[in-house]
Amino acid sequence: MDIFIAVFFLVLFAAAAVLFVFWKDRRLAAALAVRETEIKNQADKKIEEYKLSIEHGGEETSRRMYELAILKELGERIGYSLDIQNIVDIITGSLHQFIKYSAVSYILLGGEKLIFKVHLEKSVSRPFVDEVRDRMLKSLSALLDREFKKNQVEELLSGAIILEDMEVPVNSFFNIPLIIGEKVVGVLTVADSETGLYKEEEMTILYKITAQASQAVTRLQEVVEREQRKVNSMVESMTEGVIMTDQDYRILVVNPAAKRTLGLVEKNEITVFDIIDALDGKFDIRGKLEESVKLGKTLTAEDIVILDRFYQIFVAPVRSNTGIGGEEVLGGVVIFHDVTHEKELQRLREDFISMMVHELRSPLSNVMKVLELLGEGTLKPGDKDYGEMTQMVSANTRGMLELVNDLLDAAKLEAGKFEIHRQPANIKEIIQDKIRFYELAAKEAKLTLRSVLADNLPGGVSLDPIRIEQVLNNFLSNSLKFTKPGGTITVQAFPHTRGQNLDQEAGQAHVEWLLHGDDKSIQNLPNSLIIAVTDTGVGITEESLPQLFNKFKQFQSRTMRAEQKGTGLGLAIAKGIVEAHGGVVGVASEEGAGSTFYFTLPLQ
Amino acid sequence: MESIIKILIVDNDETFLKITNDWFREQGFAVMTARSGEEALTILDHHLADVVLMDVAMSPMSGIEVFEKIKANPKTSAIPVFMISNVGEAEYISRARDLGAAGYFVKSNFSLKDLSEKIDRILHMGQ
Repeated sequence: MDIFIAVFFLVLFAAAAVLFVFWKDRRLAAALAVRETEIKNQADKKIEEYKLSIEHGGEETSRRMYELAILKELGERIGYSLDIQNIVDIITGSLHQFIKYSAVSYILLGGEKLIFKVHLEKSVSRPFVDEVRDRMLKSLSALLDREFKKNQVEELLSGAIILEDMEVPVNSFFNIPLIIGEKVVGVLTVADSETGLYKEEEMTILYKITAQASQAVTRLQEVVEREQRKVNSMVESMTEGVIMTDQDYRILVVNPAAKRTLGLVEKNEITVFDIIDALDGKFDIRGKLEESVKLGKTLTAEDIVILDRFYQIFVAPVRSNTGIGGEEVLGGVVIFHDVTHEKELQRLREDFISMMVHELRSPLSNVMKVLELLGEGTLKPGDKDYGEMTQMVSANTRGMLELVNDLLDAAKLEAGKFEIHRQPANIKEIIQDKIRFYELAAKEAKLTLRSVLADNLPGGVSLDPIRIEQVLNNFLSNSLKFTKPGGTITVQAFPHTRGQNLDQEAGQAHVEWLLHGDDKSIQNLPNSLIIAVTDTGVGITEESLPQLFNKFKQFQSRTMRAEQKGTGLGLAIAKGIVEAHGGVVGVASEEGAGSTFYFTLPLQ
Repeated sequence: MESIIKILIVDNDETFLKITNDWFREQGFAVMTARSGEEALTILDHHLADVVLMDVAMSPMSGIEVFEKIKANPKTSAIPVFMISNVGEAEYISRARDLGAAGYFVKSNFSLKDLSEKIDRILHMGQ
């Protein structure tokens, strides 16, 4: 694989891994700095506040200092976690240091279930826990305006044991909503069997703690989301198709390029089944993802054809890179790299080589062998085959010379070094010469070859006569090849005056062709000579029309090459010659009826 | 004096057929020519050849396919077959070799003399 592509994908996989970390692990190196400053600032602010209160000499000073120490410890322990449950666990684990309770508990909104976690400082009865749970559910329902039921709860119990004979009711109860980024994510509760425990003091400290945690998490989430958006927009704008899945092969990301690749642009919610359907058995995405995750390495599939385009497909596992507890596979990523253009070039190269083999190597080896026959005395003047063999050698060498000339012309065109040598020439004479030249060949092919030339054709037109002859040779030899016996080939020429109706002018000159005046390529022509070769041949299919004058494009049409030996360079060279004269070249055709190849020469 | 060696030359290139026809006739072979694989198989049905010279790139039946058919038929399987081609693709050469071709020639790389010498060698080896 190309080193550039390798590096590119390496970077991409790294980005994918980061993206996963944002989604799944919720630990983020980039956000650490922000969090750190925040804790420090808050602690500093509080220290200032409490310094003031110490100066006021209140009796609460020592208690407040204690609170502060706890808050600071909490802040440090929460650290850089984005896992809400983890944070709430830390809070509830430290709360007993300054609030008295039998049970501290929280309910968090999870996926389908609600997590209800209770830590008992003192033994209580089962009804006590149930009552706490029911009261929490009630307040959560009220907060979110949504009904929550007992059976949705997944209970986790820790701390002191439940004793059935401890039949004490919940006498003190304080409930505080857990809010992250202005959204209620759960409730935190302290409850005790003693009466009248929770006064303003305790409420304030609880509010402080939860508010601090909530604020920190909210900020951290903002940073994460910002980073996530950056990575998202990168993946979205990529020209490579990207699909990401989690470890259960559920689709997390399908970028627009991947949608285009799979023909799923119209679809909103894309599942793995849509993708499997779209791939139509050409690529086992599920199997490859599994294999890639299992082997822990990137798999590559070459030349997969999806919707008429060629793709190189990479499948790689995505691992967490947090460094905590080793590497964990988070899912997989599939990348579609479009190699259609490379494929086309490769095919063009192959076709070109194949053309060289047929048009150069094959005639050359035949020529070589005829020379061997002559050299060995196997073939002598006067032998039956002598004339035919020598004629073959001369035809083959002429063909090869033409090919070499064509290739040189094509190379000049390619390099932009194509030159023409203008001189005043009589187009009528050039055309009549050509007709005479091809007369015999036309007769042999049982074709009628004629010309229709307007009376008002100008003489002494500035052009390169050798090159213009080359264009006519090309058009005429094509027509001879593709017109069946009994057909007609007509060379036509007439002048066009700028702004005049081309159809009318053609009509006046008695020109019969397959071109229509509304053809875009011949609109807004300057004063020009129009020259056309019309045949009653097989015609050209509509889809191959636009490619006819493209360099080397004819190599691609293998069926055409079978009928018509040649390089397919002739028309491309003709185009180059006409354009060097400032004219346009084109073709109009009706399948089965014939073709008109035409070119224009601006009159100066 | 051994009997005349019968050679079957199969190629869709008329010129090549003509050249090799002239050459092998002059060398004292009895020459049969076929312009396609199908034609070659029909000829072999009626006239056994001592050696076959066959172009790889033919259609619709490629030289390799024709060769496989010759090898599969017990009547013809012992005939030494030389594959010839304008292309020297490694995969063709190894395929022809795997199938047991007596030789593989790239047309531009050998002379008619080389070819008849090689054929002579193979035929005399078998005796």
